[in-house]
Amino acid sequence: MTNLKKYMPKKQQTRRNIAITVSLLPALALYALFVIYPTFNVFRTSMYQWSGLSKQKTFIGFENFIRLFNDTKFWTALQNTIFLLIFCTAITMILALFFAAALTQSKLKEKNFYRVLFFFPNVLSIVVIGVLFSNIYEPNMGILNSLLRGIGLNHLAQPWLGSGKTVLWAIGVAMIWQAVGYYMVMYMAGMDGISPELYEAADIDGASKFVQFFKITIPMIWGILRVTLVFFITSTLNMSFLFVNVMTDGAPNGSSEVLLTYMYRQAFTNANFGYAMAIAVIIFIVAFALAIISNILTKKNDA
Amino acid sequence: MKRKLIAALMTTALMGSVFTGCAQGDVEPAPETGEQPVAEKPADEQKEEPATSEEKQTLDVAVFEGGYGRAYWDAVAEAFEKQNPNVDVVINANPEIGEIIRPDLLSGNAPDFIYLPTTNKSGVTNALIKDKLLADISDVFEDPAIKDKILPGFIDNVATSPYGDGKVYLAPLYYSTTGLFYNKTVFEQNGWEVPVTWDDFYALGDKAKEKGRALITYQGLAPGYMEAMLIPAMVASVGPENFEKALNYEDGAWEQEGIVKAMEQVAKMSTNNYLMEGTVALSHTQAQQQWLKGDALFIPCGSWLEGEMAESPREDGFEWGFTAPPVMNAEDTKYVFTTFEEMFIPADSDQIDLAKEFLKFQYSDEAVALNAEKAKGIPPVKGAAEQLKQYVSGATYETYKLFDQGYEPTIVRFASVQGTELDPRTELFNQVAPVVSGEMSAAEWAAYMENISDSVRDYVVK
Repeated sequence: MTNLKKYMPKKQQTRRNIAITVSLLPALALYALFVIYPTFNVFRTSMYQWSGLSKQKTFIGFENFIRLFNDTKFWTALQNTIFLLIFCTAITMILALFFAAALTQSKLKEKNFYRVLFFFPNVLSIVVIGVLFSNIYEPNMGILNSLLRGIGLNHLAQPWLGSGKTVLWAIGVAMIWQAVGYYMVMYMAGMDGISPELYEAADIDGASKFVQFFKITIPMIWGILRVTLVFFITSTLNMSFLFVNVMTDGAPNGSSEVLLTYMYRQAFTNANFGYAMAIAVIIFIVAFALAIISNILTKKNDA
Repeated sequence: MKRKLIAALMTTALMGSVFTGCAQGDVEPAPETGEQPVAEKPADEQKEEPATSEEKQTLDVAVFEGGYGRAYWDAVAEAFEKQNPNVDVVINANPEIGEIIRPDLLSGNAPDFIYLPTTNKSGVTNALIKDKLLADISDVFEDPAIKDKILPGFIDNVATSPYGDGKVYLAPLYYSTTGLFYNKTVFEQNGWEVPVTWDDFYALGDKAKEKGRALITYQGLAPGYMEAMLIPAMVASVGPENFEKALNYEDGAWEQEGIVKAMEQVAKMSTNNYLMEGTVALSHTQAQQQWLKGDALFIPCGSWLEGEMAESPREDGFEWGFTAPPVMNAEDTKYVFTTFEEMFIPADSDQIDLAKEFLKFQYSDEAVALNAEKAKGIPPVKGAAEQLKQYVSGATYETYKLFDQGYEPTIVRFASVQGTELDPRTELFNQVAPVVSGEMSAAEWAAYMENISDSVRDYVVK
């Protein structure tokens, strides 16, 4: 392209540039209208005291943020969100990698069946999954407690969604169950692209499957792993809202509140829109920071 | 180049004439149109003509399509149109009506009449109250025809006049009473009496345990249902005036002795396995289901319970029973927590007078009869319960007749606060789970609420 440019007459070059600009404009305008402008609006609204319904907006500067940093419920929600981010990402990644490797490497006959089976939760609606797990965790008739009692582990049976100690773990497990299949399919696509000769050569050199996994598979799909890390951050943030909404709505006593549910509660139920936008700004910063951090941490290994 | 310029000029001219044509059409005064020869007009303009030529008024009605459905609204719109032939009532009913009208409210294009309970998750009604965007409807209830019809206690309360200035901004539609539901058959079989005092209540709990039943369960993950027990207990214990102080965040009001005592009675559930195991982790349907199966004797709920659980499996021989929550001493005034769903007129409506007529019509005998038939719900109008009798079962009818049996309605709301992240009602009921699990004492609960009171006092909407 650059070489071609050199031989173009100047007039033609400017024409070409104009054509490019004109073609880009509609997309840029839409992007500005639907992405940049709303984002900017979030930042602006976070400086106001506003119910979200009337025309009365009062500028209060950073007041919302000062309140936010003194709000224990906000800190609980932030803590819960970060817990889910770490817990779900770590376990989902490990399980997805394990299943992907197991299914691509092994010569199981029913390989395709498992592939569909693991992916199945992804085609279910989140509401369905939430209700499903609510019933699994149901303390008296739910399958989990019944199973524990059935094998004599009565003392382990818990009101899973009713206790502040267990509720986040319970929601996390449901989220992992939902997500594993999706990431597994992504990793499998990456693993299918690895040349079998690498494994053959490693076999001849006497490398165990375990070593092969860490020395061949992981480095070869490193690019995909990095991409999925960003996916994990955004999807866990979004999914946690849906799961919490369906399963507990923040109960008991705010123990399962996450940032997005707290934002929603403040914006709509409590008619405190400016404050909710301050929470949105924090979510934006957290997600952005995490994405950058994970990118930097994984960068040096990228070939 | 020249050619292009000419072409451009010509198109502009053409477009210009089209636009002026449109503008003329719009400006044309409606009444005159009848005299002009029809043939001169474009076809699409003719279509719009009838709407403008008559002085037909349109009333935009936005209603929440919840448990009571939309059939009533279609019927009442028709009835109102019959009485007022030049009014066109447009019903917009949807389960998500709050989200649907939000942009209209924001742009000042508000509906003329809204039925949307304050408890709705969209929070639109609460936001309108906080922003003082409701029309003053006091004159509707000063009209003697309406005033004498409404049941006592339903108009002069915090729910209808949220700013404490005696002016009415919200009108009561469907009302329900709440209390404790039980299975009559079980009580008859065991010779148990329905408890009146808290002592009776917990004594019954000990007897029930011998029969393998817990005393009580509640909708654990939705602790707001405990209002059916907690609010009457507090009101009966300190009296309505003193409880009002707590709702208005007066200093020290939450730590009044009576309130702590009432909280202690509720906290007692945490002892002796009175509360059904696992209750705190149950959704409202799960809890109601297990109560129907006989795992617990009582469950707090409102008039709607029977309809809600109509399809659910239950214990053999189940018979609906309903009683008011317990009191300290048998001779105490017995209160029943009563709620109603609100309807109101936005201040931005351009048909406020017409909307008021429509509001009055809601309390007419004709509308009440329609409501009983189509929605199986009634507004707090004298004699309405009789209209409902033929459509609902005995126990539900009972819930509407409590006031004839010496019970007092208590209609309470926390004073509205704005600009704070705290919602005092949520705070009160969020503590139920730790309290009934024994992690928090009644005194700590009261102290917590006192603390909340202190934090929101300066944010009350006046």
